[in-house]
Amino acid sequence: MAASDPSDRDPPWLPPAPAWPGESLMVTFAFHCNLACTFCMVEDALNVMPGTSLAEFKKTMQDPARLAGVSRIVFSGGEVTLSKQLPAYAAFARTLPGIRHVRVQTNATRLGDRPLLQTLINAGIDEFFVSFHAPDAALYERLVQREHSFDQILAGLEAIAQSSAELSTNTAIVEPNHDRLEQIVERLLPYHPASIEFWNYWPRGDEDARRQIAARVGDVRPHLLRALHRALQAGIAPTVKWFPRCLLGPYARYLDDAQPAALIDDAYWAREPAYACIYEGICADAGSACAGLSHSYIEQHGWEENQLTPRKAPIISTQPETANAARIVTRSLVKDAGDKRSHAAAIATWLAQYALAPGAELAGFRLRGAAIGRGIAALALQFERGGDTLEVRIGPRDPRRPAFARTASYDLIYARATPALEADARRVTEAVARSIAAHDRGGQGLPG
Amino acid sequence: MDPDQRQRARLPIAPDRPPPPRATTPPERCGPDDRFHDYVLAEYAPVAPALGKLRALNLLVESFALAGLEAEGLALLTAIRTGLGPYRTVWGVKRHHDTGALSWELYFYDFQRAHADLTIPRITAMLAPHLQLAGDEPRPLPWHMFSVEFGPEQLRARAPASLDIYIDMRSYKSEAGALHFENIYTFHEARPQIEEVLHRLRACVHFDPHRDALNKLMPPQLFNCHKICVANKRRSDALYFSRISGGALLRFLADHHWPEPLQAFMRHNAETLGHLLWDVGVDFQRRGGLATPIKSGFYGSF
Repeated sequence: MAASDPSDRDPPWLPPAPAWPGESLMVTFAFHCNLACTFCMVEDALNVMPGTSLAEFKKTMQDPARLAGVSRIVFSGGEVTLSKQLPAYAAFARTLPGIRHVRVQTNATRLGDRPLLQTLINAGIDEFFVSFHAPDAALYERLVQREHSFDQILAGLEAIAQSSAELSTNTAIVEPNHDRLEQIVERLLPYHPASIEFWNYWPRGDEDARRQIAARVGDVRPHLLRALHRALQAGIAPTVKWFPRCLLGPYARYLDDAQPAALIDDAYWAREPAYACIYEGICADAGSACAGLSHSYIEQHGWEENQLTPRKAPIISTQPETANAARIVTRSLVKDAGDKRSHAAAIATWLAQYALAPGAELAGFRLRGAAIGRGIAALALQFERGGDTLEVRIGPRDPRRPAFARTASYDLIYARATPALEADARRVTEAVARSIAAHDRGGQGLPG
Repeated sequence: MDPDQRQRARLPIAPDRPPPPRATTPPERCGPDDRFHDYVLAEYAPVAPALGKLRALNLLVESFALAGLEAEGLALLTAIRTGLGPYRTVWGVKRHHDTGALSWELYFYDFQRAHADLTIPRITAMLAPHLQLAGDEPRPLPWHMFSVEFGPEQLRARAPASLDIYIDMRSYKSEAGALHFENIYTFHEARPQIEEVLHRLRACVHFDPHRDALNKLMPPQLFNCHKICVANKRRSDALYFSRISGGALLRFLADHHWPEPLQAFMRHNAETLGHLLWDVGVDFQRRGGLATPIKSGFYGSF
């Protein structure tokens, strides 16, 4: 009998797991590890990055803004259970206002040591987020390159399950384990995890796909869907990260790439993997709802243009065109003649696509002019109300620099506003951002 | 500190000293009135402050120097800038993969045909002391662009350089009073019109969607561009990507085995070239059952 497509099966319905990253702050330290995972995302940081010292952690927490909306402190490294200071970090975290949970991300190899586990729990840790990558010792030890680690991890899981702390798990999906995901869920169920997460290989530090370890998403899909189905059957809401949404079918609601804000060396982000999808310009899910594929994956396996299917968004057109006219304009080199116009015409066209025009009123201010920066890539929109003026500057989106507001393609800041007009400037900037965001699906540039 | 770390600390440190440029003339730097154009002479805003940074032209001069033709190349550029003015000319450097030879092409655009000073006869006369053209405009044609392509022999020994005339989406080679159909081009917004790009590509005779890996012709750093052009040529098909970053150009040069000195020039001047966007193209031909790059090129303007 041929196996049916797992996406045809009506999944048991559970609401997605609580979005813990949004209410969490991750504190990283102890960049050492007793395993050597073949897919490690901090391999270049191990034994190199100093991590956040306890003193730095305490000093940083003196800024109340750091804890705004935070109810959970997460400790991660490296393997933080190797640090003798972990109880002190946890105890301090418990003293912080608004903190209801203290979590560690761990491989659990040391947590079968029940006195140690109890020490950590007594210090305030109530959640253990355990990495679990294979259902048997042979595959596990191949993935983490340490003998006898599997038995240690099972002992750790058993100890957590019998403790007062909550267990959740995280499985990295890579080529060697991609067809064992359902068995991984089965292996975990006796320990009653509150949640099971599947993280498709996140190739930080593997920009050129030298590890050749990413599994093809089309190969992963049936196993992942069966694993998700099994978790839901057992009453556990799963989470999937960094997997194309269009391949998840009815399980797409469990895709959530969010990660908590982190105290970590800026150098860590220099090698954050880039993502893209060949359909990102025509798929309504592209961007925050779906990252697509990592550049590293595309290097290894290609764009998967025949596997992925865009969820078509309505096309925004500023002027109606007949089908033939649209085709001629699209296909002709003459189209590019349109770009070689005056700056004023280019800016007017750019504004129009975002429902903005000279004279438009936003938050009580009138858009009176716009100018391209001469030396920098920025568009300055000048607003006035009576004798008051202020400026909203729009530049290409760059997550490395601060911005007052961001859309898929742009960063927005306000300028040339007197202190008395600052509140107005914020409102105007927000209004401009809303107008742009309504039509901005990413990948857009400044006029010109 | 453990003994291994102490050992490493004693290793000599090799400074990453940039190799000197091949060109002997001082590099040109951007002034306050510089303008920036992509390879269809569409203006773009620099992506970083440009004042005092290197002009794209320096990479062209470096390619001339690499071929031992710095003086000849500079004389040609001076003639054009003197005769036509700045910021009106697009240049391309090509690498022919079979031989490793470099060649160059200059593109003269006038979409609206609004510039009385830009005619094929005038450019032919302007170039005459440096390049001899193999063709002319046999009768008034509705071109929006024409180009002059030449290699070391044309620049050094004044062998006839080819003249190509671009009308709407087609190009014709002009030779001895006759026009020969050459290429057809379509331009597409990279992201919103990706389905048209894929349709055009799947219809290319030198690309087999069942065997060829699209990522080899269009890696992610090139897809992150402004427009994609698909071209069908007499002996190959081609893909062009406009307004890519300097980092993407560097990766492109490495992928297509460009001479190390040019890569080094880009690498060591990444900061001072970082305000620029670049355009690249790759011609591919079916060889051994696979779409194989046979020519690559990058473009700038002056």
